[in-house]
Amino acid sequence: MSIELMLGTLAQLLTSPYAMWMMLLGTAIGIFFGAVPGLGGRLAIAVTIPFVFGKEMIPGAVFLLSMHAVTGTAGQISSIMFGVPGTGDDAATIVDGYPMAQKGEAGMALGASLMASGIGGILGAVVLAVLIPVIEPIVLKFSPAEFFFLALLGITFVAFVSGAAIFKGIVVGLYGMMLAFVGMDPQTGIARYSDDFLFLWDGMDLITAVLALFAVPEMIHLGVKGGAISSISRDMADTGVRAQLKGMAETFRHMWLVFRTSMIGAFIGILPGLGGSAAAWICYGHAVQSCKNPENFGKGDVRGVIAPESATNSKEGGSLLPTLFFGVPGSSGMAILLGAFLILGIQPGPLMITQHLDLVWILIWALVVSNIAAVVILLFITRWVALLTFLRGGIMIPFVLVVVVFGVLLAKGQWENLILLGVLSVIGYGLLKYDWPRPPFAIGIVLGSIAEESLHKAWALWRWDFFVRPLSIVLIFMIVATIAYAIYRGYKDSQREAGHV
Amino acid sequence: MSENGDTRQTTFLQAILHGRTRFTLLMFVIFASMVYVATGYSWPANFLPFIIGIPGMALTVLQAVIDIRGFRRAEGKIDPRTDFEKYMDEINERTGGKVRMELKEGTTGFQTLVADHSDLTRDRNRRELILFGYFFALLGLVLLFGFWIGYPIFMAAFLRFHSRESWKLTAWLTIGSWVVMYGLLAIVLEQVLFEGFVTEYMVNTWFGD
Repeated sequence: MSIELMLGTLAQLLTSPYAMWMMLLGTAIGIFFGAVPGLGGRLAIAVTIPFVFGKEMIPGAVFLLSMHAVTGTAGQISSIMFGVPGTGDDAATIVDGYPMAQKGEAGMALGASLMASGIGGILGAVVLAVLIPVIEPIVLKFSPAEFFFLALLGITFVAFVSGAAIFKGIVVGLYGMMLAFVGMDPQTGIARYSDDFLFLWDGMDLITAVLALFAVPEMIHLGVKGGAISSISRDMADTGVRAQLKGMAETFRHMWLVFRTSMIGAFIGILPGLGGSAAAWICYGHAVQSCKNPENFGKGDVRGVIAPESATNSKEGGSLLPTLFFGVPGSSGMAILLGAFLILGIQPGPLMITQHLDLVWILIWALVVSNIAAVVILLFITRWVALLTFLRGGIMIPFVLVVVVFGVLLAKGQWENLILLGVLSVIGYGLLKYDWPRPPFAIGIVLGSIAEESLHKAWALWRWDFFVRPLSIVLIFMIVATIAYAIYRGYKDSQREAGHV
Repeated sequence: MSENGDTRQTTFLQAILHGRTRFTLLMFVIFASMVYVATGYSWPANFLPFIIGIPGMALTVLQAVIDIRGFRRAEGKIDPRTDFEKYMDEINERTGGKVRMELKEGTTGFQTLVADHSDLTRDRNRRELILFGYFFALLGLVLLFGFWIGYPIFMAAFLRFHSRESWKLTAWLTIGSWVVMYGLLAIVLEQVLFEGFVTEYMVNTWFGD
């Protein structure tokens, strides 16, 4: 890998007006698809495939990758502003982003989120670049056994994201996991909890569940309490560019957290099957677990915005690795991107390293430049968007509820999900009203199905031996250490409350 | 039963009937139903539903006990805060402590602003029901008439009758949002959304398949 090739491909991208135009166009379209709940990166690629058909290989690939990479950056806008996630990947941002908006800190939350997304996207591209020579043995080390323990590790973070109500948090996490079992059992083919309801055979739709648990209850709550999303008036709130810059500065202040979560996100992206939602929630849990003062999480802590945002964007770089070099898509979005690459004449596989390394480098640079471009564009747009949190709830609520219904209809195109939305919204509002922590639900539903599927596969392959594989032992140790630390911290907190410390 | 015993009985029943406990029991019912249904599945389809569901049932029962004990314990306690302090605590919780207000010495009229607690609860429950009513009406309208017909009806009704906006603003917001969304999503992006049972039936009846 030569420096000439690295820099040469960057120069080639930047000096080609056509490639740059395609990249910026892709970035702008990606922002739109990311910002509108329910659309997302997959639909963006699916809709624009006819547009790139017949185009040159490099501009076409740059267009598609730029568009897909920045949807996550824009997806956080509605998560922070209204508690409505653009896609399932953006749900973790709600937990602290929306309370920040309620405190009149939407500008700061958006600034922090933008910068974390941008840096995460760039670090993901760096991971992609660095791992090119060594990727194969790493990926091959991961089997269903390791996936199972990785999912279990993520589930243990429930203890950290539950705040003071750990007991309730565990119940909600288990509830999320139970809902993850809805649908066709991959081992036996039994339609669990779904009987003749065909729409449930694929499992419960994550977007519907997240909107029901987070967005709808928040809007009902807003209607009940009255006023605007922001609890303080516009005069007292910190809005505009200054607030955004403050949020960006917060990202740099927590650079070590950004780095760690970006690495975790990129690594999860490399592993096919875990997905962006898992990356976001695992990194959110990691942020809560690793900080010294976790009591502010869930109440509008900027670190709760930074961690999932850097993870979801860095995951894109990571998931490009198996997509390009093995032809194995790292996520469902990458699967569609893979198809689009094939249409453009790009044949993923080991030959990408030996014969098309220049194309790989151009794609890496496209990831970097499009992430920077998205941050700059959104920096201008979100300044005005943040003001929506001061709009009266009476006007805001119907718009958000309509967007929620639209997102549910678009996610899977099944009307039955509207009924599911109604039922789960009642439970979601109960959780909100009676102070049950809701983030563990999302962790449970995202990681529950991954854990189950991996467990059965690992059991079929190795029986009890899957516990003693080298990486399994490392992950088991991490799980035990995480639980022990949670107990220790709970004990320390109770001691502190009792005045013994 | 002694007078003391009667009081304890009443308090226990109140605790059971309290919304907080009822919700915990609802969670128990969900877990119990899912575990019961899982008994009809063969291994390994029932393995994790049991592993997760049974502890879930046990934990919700424990939580219900905690709720009832907490409720009964709170019965005997008097909150030492004044109404003003309670109000400020709530505001500070929402705003992250950004608002500072102090009562002038000798102010006594504030307590009159806080209504009887049962009135507040009733009022809040009423507003919750109304908002859920609107939400379910939106779902019903979309199911019956489809998204593009159902949502503007809901939006106009909500803005005009719930938010009490003027007819002019209601019309502007409803028509404006519809034109933008329909133009962008249905025409430009060619997204086909559910058309609604009634609309489909009418279209099929009048224009055939």
